[in-house]
Amino acid sequence: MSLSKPWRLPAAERRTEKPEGDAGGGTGRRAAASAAEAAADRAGEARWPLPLAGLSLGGAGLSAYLWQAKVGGTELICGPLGDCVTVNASVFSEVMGVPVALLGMLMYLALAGVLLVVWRRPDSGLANYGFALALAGTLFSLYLTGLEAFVIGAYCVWCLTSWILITGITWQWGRMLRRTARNAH
Amino acid sequence: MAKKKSKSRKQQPSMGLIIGVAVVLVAVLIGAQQWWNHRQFQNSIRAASYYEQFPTEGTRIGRADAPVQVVEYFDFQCPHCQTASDRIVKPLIEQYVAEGSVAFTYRFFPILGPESVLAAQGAYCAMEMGMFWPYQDYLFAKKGLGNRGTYSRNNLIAYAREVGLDANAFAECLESDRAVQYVRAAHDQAVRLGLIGTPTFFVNGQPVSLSSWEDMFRVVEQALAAAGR
Repeated sequence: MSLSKPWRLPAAERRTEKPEGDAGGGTGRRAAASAAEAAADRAGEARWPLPLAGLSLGGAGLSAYLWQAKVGGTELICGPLGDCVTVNASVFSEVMGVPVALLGMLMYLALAGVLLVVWRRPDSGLANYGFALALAGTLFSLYLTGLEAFVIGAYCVWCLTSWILITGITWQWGRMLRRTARNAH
Repeated sequence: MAKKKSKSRKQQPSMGLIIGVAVVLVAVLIGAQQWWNHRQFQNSIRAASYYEQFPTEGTRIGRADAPVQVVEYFDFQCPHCQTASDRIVKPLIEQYVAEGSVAFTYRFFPILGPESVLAAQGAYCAMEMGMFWPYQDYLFAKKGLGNRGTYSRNNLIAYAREVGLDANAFAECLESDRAVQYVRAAHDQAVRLGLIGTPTFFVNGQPVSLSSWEDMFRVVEQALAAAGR
């Protein structure tokens, strides 16, 4: 059996196919299946940056919208939840005159870029640095959400969406780094 | 093989270092934001003290008996009024009000939607609290357009706090009937004068037709010459 093109049983069958005695060649088949599963897992692992890159691009789009609304390029539609106009106009929506939404967009684009590089070259060593940036984004987003709750007194539904997005990206990224580190041991 | 693995592990930063870098990055961002906001606040206070050198009463700046009286009917959301604030009002104050030859008065004519009315009411409240000039400066600097929230109620209160006003007293005034009545009366007066747009300038009671911002200074010079100054 060639491992370069591994066969895999459907998960349900794999669970039920427990050995009830090793009748001729069973051990070899199980070893092959196990190796094939490991290969498939590695292939799955190698693809983890792609969905996160997709989410990062979504975050970049969201931040670009907030940035354009901030500079008057488009109208900000908040929907029935919160008061995103107030939040986006507050003094906390800028860092030294640079809109926070612009910083967010650049961060998401950087994350998407790093994730694509990590996907193509998993050994590039960029994954850890990208994770540090994502973690910083999560912490800063948490700080901004705290300001919304306790200082500004208004919530921005788009900012909360972005916070959830970056938290999810960071969480999943951290999990994959841990798994990769475990496998390396 | 094992050696190779351990070498590659050595090259990777530890999780502690990664978290440390992230925390430092966020601390720098928060610190920069706080420092910048504090600096802006100090600038607002300086702007407030800048206007203290001139005699002011209500929305007028300059001596009541100045030989040339300039009046502008304006709307905070009108882009030309925002430009006029920089190109006409500030130079007039610097050059003519400072020497006592001109007095300049703003009159509310909010015609561009609910935030124009709210901003005018906010400016009225600042006037009531003796801070009209720094507050109008702050509102114009925000350059709000199209009722997009720049002059929302919450923002107006935040701006009041930033120029050093008592935010609670300001909020109470903003809700009050007197603010609504004052701005409505100012608007009605402009309508009775037959005004249809902003900014509209009057020099010594005569409407001024401007084809460029510089025209304003020519008209003021002519008025000063006519007054023998």
